[in-house]
Amino acid sequence: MASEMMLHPAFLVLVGVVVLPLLPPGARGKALPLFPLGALWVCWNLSPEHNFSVEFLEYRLSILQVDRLSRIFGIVFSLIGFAGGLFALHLRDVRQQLAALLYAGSALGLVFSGDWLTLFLFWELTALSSTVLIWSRQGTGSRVGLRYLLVHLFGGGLLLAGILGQVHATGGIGLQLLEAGRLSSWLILGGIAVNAAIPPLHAWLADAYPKATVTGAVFLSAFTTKSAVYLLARVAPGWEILIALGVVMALYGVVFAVLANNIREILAYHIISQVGYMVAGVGIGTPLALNGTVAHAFSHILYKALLFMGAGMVLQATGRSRLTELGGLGGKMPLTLWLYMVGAFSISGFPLFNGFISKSMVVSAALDARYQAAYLLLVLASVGTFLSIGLKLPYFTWFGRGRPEVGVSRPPLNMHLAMGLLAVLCVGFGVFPSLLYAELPYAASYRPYTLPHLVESIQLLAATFFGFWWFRSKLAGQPTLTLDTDWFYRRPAGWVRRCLVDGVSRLFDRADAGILAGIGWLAPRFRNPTLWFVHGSEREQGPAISGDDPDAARPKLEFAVTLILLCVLLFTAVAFLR
Amino acid sequence: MKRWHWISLAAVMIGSLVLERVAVHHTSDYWWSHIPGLYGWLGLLGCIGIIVGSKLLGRKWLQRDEHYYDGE
Repeated sequence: MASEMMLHPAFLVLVGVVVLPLLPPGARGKALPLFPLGALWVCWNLSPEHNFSVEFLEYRLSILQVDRLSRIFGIVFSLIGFAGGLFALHLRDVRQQLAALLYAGSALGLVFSGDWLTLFLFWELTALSSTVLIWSRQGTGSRVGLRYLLVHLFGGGLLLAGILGQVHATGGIGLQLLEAGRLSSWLILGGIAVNAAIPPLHAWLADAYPKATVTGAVFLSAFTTKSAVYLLARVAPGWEILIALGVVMALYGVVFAVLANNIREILAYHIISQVGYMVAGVGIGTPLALNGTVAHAFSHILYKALLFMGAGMVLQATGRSRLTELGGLGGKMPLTLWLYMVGAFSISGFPLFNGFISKSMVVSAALDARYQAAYLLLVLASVGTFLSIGLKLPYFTWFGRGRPEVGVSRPPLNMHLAMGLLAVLCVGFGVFPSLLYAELPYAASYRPYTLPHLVESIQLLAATFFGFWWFRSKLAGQPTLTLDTDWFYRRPAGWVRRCLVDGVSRLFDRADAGILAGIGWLAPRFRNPTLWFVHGSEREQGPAISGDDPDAARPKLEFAVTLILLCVLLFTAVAFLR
Repeated sequence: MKRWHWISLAAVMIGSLVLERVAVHHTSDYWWSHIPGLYGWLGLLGCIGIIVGSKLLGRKWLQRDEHYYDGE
């Protein structure tokens, strides 16, 4: 079994979590990318004959279950783990390094899980480890990290409830296709929807990702949403509701990205938009659509990480990430600009870039399956993608009015190297799509470079540019905040805290003070019962003592007589009653 | 944007429209697929629609002061 475990890509990365803290601080950053690199090698050589499982109570846990779907997600997760590690090579923060490795390892464990229990364990580990990447950013991370964690615990709760129902209904823990008639299927779908950022359960993404660390955001952009897409493709292909949800996602992200002012928030909203294509592809459910979903997840992980690296470099070099505080950086950061633009061309679907060869598969599959409205709306969403990521963000960050007051520090070489690696992959898969298509899980052929597709794309992109240039002044950043569905838990948070925390605390404080006052009143009276019979002023001052007469401090004769009389009355009453 | 940028962009656009006219045969039977320059129109009108619609939505409903949640 030990040798089998060694062949698990997640195991290799999780070993890094144990080994890394034992290394000298200076060597940790250099060692970080080696663990995902090892996992990449293992993933590449994995086949179904490597599957293994272990007995746990009365269940058999499928720790490693390999097929073409899990393998390609494993490959891209390992690849981005390596690229992210290279980007973070200079980092000296062991907390972030460990969180990144744990996050990558959990995501790998998740995609190779063959049963619900193993999957759930890794699902929760991704939530916990990714939260640390948000918390690690000083200043802004703590509150938003807590919101992020609570939302994911809610999603995990939904998933667990669904899994328990599923296990009860089927009698087994193996991953199976969800059946629409079961409540447990809908609960599982709800849990996945949280991680896939399907509206209205998406707001955590745009809330948290812009506030993560520079290197943490690269890892965040890759794993959580795409492992949810993997699970959707695994258990819910052909669920038509996903087509509508995917189209809504694609457009929702576009609209909110137009309103966003923070460059990493723009990118975050376009994760939602791009994942919308993948969710719609799962909903269409044909082999071409599912291949499109997988191919687009693969491409998206590469170019989105590249884009987050570019935006992170701007934040690192200038300390700023708001469009209203940026501009004219092209001359100061030319290499970052052009590497970012490779990612922007890719996400926008330019020919010869990887977004062109993957997004179009989903869009074509929608038309082939005769979902006309979905097709046209997905085309419209791709206009919005180019508008925000390819035009608005670079124009107002690197071009436009320069800001001489903005100082730019020189970024470490490894950050540019990581961006360069991803840029080469984006172009490489765009020029040679068969390299990706050969690894896709389903039997469907697709040719991206046809004359109609090229003509359509060129018209779409060129016309979008004309529209942008005409209306570009309206796209300038504004120092505002855009309300999203997190309003429903952020806005009442103060009110809920006042009622359920502050109010209860005040009540406890008052009860505490009341009890202490009561004890303060009772204690002297039980210590000296004569105080029950003296007036307040006398009690406060104590009995009047005159001269050296000791009798002055004793109780008066009337008091003793009264006590005796009371005792007599009491005993008489008791005797009568008996 | 320099003049040659605009000339190149216009040449690409016109070239794609000409190619569409003479060399592309749409196999799809939907009424909208026969609109000349459909994707150009989608790009231009879609872009303007997204900008205007989003800004309207933001100004009338969604945009607030940056410190809106500060008291939470």
